[in-house]
Order: sequence, then C-alpha cells, then structure tokens
Amino acid sequence: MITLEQDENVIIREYRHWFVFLSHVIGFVVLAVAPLVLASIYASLGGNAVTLAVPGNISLLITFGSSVWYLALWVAFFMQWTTFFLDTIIVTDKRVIYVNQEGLFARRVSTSSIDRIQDVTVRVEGLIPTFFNFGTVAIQTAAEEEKFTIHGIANPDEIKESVLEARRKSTASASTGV
Amino acid sequence: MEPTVTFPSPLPSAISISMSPSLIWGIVALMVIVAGTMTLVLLYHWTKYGAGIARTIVIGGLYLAGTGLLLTTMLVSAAAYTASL
Repeated sequence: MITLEQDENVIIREYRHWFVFLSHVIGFVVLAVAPLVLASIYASLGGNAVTLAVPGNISLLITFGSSVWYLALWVAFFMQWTTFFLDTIIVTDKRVIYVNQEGLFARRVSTSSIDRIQDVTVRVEGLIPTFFNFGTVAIQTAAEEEKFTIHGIANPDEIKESVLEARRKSTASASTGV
Repeated sequence: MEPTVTFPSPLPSAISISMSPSLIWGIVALMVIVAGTMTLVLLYHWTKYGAGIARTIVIGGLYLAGTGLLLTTMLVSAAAYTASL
C-alpha cells in the first residue's frame, strides 16, 4: 500500500497494458487445451493402441482429473495476473512512485522526488503498441545511475506529460517561494 | 543358440492403473489446501496493494466463482468416483 503525504495529490496512475499480458496467457491456453487434444488423439486411435484399465467409473475419474487440472491452472493464472497487474506507476505532485511486483512475495517500490527528475523518455515501437497505446517509459533522475524503466505501460505519453508538468509546477513554486 | 531380438519391442496393449479412495481424497485435500492458501494470498494482495476497487471486485468475483465451481466439481466427482469403486 502506498501512503501519500499530507497535501500530496495523485495526478495519474497507470498499470501495464492488458495486451502485454496476452503473451503470458498463451502458455495457459496451451496447457488448458492439451488434455482435450490428447483425449481426441486417443479417441481417434479407436482404442487400438493402448487400452486403459481403470477401476470404477472412468467418466467420473476423467471429470475428477479435469477439475483438478483446471483448478490448478485457474489458480496459477490468477497468480500470474496479480503479479502482472500490480506493477504500477503513480505520479503525484511531489513524487514518482514505481511499484514492481516481481512475484507474489517479491515487491520493489522505487520513489523519486519530482524535482530530482531530469528527463523522461517514451518509446512506443511497432504497430500494436502504437495502435493500443502502450510502450516503455524511462525516467532519469538526478541520483547516480537512478533510472526507472517501465515496459509495456499504458498511456506512456500521458505519463510523460504528467511528470514534466508536475516538475514544471514544482520548479515554479520553488522559485517563487510559494 | 543366439537370443532372438525383436525390434521395435512390442508395446503393452493395456495399461492398468490402480486407484484407491485414499489416493483420491489425498489429492482433494492437497488441492483444497493449495487453492485455499493461494486464495488467501491473492485476496491479501488485491485488498492491500489494490488495482482499483472496480477491477478488484470484478476480478475477485470471477476468481472466487471459478474456484468455487471447480472445487465443487472436484468434490462431487471425487465422491461419486470413490462410490463407484
């Protein structure tokens, strides 16, 4: 949970784009379809190759096995989704906060004061990122070797504008002493 | 006399799998423990770190509905199968 300071306001909060998650989904689709493919191959052989001798009602056993398999996949899918979509960037009028959820039990939160930001670079490459509006945002800060690079984030230009606008306001208020 | 070698070696025409109620219920217990623990972990992440209230409600509802359906199917089919043994 990110705790904001008093009088600190969130300007924009963005997550990684859903399209990037599709590449993670493909593996789950393959694993979900695999038992059906194997069953259809076995059925197409007409039982000529190998006969399975299983005690009890085999249909019930297949239903049981399928529910175990799909339950495991279902839980694993949501674990993947959670680690993916908890990656977020929050731009406030005082800070930029980048939360990198590396796993369910590994989380890195990087914070930079808005007036220490030197440069923001946006990279949107390719037809699909351009069409769906996602890309890479790199934020260079004054600290040595400190750079946030966030891949596959939604609305990268909006993030850039928000950071630069917040920095302009921060610089202006600092120079006028307000 | 030299031994006769046939290639390819013949595959078994039937595979016999033994099943017992204790094996079935052991798998059920394992899955209930794993799914229950992961559900608690996921709900903790969604409520503590959040991904927006609307998104959390939709995804959480979908997850719980799917998990409940699959757990029920697993329990019912396990009970019916062990009764058929």
